Amino acid sequence: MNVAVAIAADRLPGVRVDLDRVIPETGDLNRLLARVDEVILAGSMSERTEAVIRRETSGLGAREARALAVGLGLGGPEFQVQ
Amino acid sequence: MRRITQAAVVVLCLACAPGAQARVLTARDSAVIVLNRLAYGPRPGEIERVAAMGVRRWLEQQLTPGKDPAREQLESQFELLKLEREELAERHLAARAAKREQRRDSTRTGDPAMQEMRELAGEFPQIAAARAVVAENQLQEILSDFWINHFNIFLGKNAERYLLPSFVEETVRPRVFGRFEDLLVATAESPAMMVYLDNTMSVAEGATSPRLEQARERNRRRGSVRMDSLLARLEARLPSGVNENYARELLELHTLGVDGGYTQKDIENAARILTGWGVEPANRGGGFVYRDWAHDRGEKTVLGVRFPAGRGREEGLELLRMLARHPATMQHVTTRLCRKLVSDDPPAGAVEAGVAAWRRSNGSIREVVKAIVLSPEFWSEGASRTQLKTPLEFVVSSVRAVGGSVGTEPGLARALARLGQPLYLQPVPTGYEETAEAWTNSAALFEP
Repeated sequence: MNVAVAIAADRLPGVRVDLDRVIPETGDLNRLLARVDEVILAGSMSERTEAVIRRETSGLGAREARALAVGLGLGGPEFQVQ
Repeated sequence: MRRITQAAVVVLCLACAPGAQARVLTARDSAVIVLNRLAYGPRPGEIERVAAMGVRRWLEQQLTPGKDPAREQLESQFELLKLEREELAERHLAARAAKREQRRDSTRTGDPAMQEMRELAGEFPQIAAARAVVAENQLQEILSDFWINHFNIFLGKNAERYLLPSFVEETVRPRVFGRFEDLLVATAESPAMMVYLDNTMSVAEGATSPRLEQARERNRRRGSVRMDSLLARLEARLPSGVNENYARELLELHTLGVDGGYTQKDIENAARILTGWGVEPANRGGGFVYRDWAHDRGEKTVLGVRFPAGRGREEGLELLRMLARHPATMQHVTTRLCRKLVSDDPPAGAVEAGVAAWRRSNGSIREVVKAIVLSPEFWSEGASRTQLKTPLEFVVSSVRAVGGSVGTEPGLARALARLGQPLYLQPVPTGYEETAEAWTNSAALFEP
């Protein structure tokens, strides 16, 4: 999970990530969730993952919420299977 | 290449063999499947792009990869890829000499030769992970990982620091879509494999190096007691007798499989056939060498096939080609490919399709992979989203999913090491496990 969150937050050394290009910042959590589901999870986001993202991003600013939502999407069970 | 027919695509999407659950897949569904199992996951917008171009066309492109400018641009940044094996061997020797000096004189630190070798070694795993992120020819990267793992070699052993890069770049990568037989022979003739599985230490019983014989003869004339003692010490360090390590893994892992119907006697005789296959020392470039004096010229029998007495290197090539064409090898290797590309529990129909393609095409890996992908089982509900990603697949697909870019800084390689899959550092010849079971309970994906 740490690696996933580090990638999303552009904090993994040697990897450059510009989330603005793929998931624009938004104060609308529903829009953010829809975009993470589409871009990261190809539409496979479960209710449980959605609930975790809603809970963990509660009270965060748009930028932080986006990075955490992407990190949790990458670290969640839907992304880890193929 | 035989083109994938329209009919085949309809079949793969709609029909199913017995045991495979029927389902209708949209173009988008199919794109998601291939990008997850034949690639390291989709980049932003890639699902739509592949769906629009058609999975059939994407697959054809992946099976016959052309130039890959993104990968080539990345590769041009790595110093390691600019060096031949001989040049790397020279640097290895220089670093070793510097290390010896440093042991003698602890005030000497930061030797540039040691530093250079450390940096080159650090680049090696990063190259694999970074290529997987940027390459357009994704299936080539997936298969490179598969074959490098199938013929696993441990970077930490002896001379592998300067031998393993050429194994990856020159032995495996150019052959990932070729004939299995050619790949097998190339791995057997690679210095990295001969060192890793000790075949370079394997000599016929009682065989002695002509150089040692000459030195002994010279000393007999001189009568030097000191030289006698030196020669005795040297002799004790030289290989004596047949070493079965490579022959055992050749049969058990590389070809027939553990249930492939061979006996201990087959291993012993295969090892005798391969005596003399070895490696030149680093100061002579570390290349493959066949030493006729070390070869066992007696008669041998492997899997009921007689190898007459009096033959040399050619009987080793004959053995390798026989093993590559053996039905047990087709079954074993195709099953492993299906475990990589389809499911942890490879469906019989996909394996059968792959084996049939192997027979038809004389072991063309391209045809075997194509047959597996076109089998209904590849697309079935039962195979869908059942595989847990390995750390390599997880990290690379994460970077791709967010459209990340990578370079030479070894961040990916270090992340993989922390997640339990340091590349090229699996000491055992079985390589890393591909199944979910192997990774679920590890520190890997759920690292706190």
